[in-house]
Amino acid sequence: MKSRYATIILLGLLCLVIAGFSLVKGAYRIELSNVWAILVGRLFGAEGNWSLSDQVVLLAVRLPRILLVVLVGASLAVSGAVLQATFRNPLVSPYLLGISSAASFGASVMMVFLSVYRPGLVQLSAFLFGMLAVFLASSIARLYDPLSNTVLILAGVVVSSLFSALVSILKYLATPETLRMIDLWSMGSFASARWRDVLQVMPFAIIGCVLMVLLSWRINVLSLGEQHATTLGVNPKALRFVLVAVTSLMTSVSVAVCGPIGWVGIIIPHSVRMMVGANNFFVILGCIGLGSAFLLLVDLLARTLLPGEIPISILTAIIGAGFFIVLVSRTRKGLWSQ
Amino acid sequence: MNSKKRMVVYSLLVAIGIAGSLFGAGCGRSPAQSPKTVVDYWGREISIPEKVERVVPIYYVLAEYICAMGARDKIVGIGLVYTNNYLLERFCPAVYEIPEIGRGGLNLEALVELQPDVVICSNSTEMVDSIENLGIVAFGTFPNTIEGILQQIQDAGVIVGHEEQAGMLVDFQKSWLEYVTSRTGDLADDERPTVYYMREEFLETMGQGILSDIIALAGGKNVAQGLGESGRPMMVSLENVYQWNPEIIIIRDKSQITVQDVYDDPTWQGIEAVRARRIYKEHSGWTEFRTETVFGIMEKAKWFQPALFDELDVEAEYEQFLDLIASFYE
Repeated sequence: MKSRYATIILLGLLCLVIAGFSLVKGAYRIELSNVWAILVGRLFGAEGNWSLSDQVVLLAVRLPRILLVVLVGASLAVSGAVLQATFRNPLVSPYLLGISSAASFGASVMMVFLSVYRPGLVQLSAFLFGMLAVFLASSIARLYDPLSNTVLILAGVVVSSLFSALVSILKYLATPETLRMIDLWSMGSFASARWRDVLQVMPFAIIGCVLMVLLSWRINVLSLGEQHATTLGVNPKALRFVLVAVTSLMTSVSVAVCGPIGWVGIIIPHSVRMMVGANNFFVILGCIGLGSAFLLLVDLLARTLLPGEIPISILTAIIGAGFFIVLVSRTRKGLWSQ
Repeated sequence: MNSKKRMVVYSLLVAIGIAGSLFGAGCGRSPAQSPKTVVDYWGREISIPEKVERVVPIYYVLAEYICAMGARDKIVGIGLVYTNNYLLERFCPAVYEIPEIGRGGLNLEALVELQPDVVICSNSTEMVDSIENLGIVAFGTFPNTIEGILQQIQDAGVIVGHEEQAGMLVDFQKSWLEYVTSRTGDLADDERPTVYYMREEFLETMGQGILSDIIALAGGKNVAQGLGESGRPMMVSLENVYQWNPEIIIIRDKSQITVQDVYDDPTWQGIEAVRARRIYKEHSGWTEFRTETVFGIMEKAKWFQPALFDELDVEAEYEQFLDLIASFYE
């Protein structure tokens, strides 16, 4: 038990260290002393002799980006962990119910039919369509059997491919310019992160994560199976509804703001399980730490490895796969066969 | 076993027969003795039939060239075409009515149905191969330089038999290109303003390739010069832009972003171009790979080196160019 708490604390520290490093590292060079001076200066209203550009890059570019990465990393990892436990399926990701392709469709619709540049409207539309996908998938599943996990997963696959096809239709109609915008969006990026985005994601991420931690013992019970849950006094139907609704909100808002970012929601929960075992209380806490730390590291590489930006989903897949292989080779067998 | 072997032999014979007839058809239509040739992207000499009446430009810019040289009636099909193309809308509105055969991949059957004498397409070996397999002359082209764009116009002229008109379009542009470069060619590095080129997103730009050449010809210096893949758009971070701190920002013609959008964005306030109010949006169509490419260079020259090009009236010269095109249809 103690070692598990230690692991959680270590993951939290890891996240802080990478965040600190991200704050001083970037394509634009700011003197370390200036970074400190600007941060302290802005907090306590002190004056300094740094340039306006230093201040804008640190406070309006880097800081919101780091916070957004932390919030999105935690949201996706926690959502993945919760849904995997809920559906008792290790392959489930936060995009299970078609959120990613539906959000892509929502964003693409705005890009194709709106002739002005309004990223706020693109985000809103992506969010609404993400939620629509969840509603559609659960409605389809309810037609057959409201309690069957398999049917809900299948319905998610159907909704997902439906929206993928709709995106293809839009791409077919799009001009080369809008086509390019759609492609860029679907690769996901934190490059244009700003405070407005942080404020949009923050309430969903924080309330969602806290709620999931509070519900973690119920999730443990649910992951034993519905019959067990019922005998232990947990209403599986109601709980599953709450879990799916909350994680969908967390995922949808993340996708709407920075595009679909793959792998975090699958690889991080499994990695955390290898570190702390199957108890969802520790898994969820660990996902908050490792999800943020992992995405911070990937984003740091995305913006510093090459002179330009590297689309983040490419890196999450490559680094995530390597990370996962290392963990698998060092972990005891039988974790998934319980 | 025996009957299986026989089957194999028969199917082989049938296959050889089909291949032979296809090959024969291909050879029969290839105009080997034609004196007209153009050199394609891969340096191959392509023989063009003496009389070309039916052309299919797969790439819409080629349709623009052909239309600008007074040969709009020869365009019988097109790959795909987008609205908001001034030249086509003014001189060749019919191009929006003709069959579009390239949307979502080239429809080869529809192409054969159009019975084209020549198909002009981009530098896709796969596409050129599949068109040549049909026994149709395919000219694959893709320019990497300004000279290449002008050569492409000239080649299109040879193909449709409007060499003279194409030559006039090219000469018109060449003379203006020389006018601009005679003033910007000797500029020292520190006399050239740094330029950030904004595409469909705030942070999407272009490094290596023709765009950096255009900016250099116009007397500026692309901040992303040498980065990324040649001719391909790339994403950068806002930190990159702050590091470069460009003196001028150019927004691509078809971008949804407006000059005001950039001025209004709080995170761009520290950039020199924003503080100096030197953000411009390209005139529609005056970009690379277009009939009006040279006007884009003239327009940029005025923005980059206002003192050198004070008396240059690009709009007025463009009107002259449009009059020239109109004269081909009189």
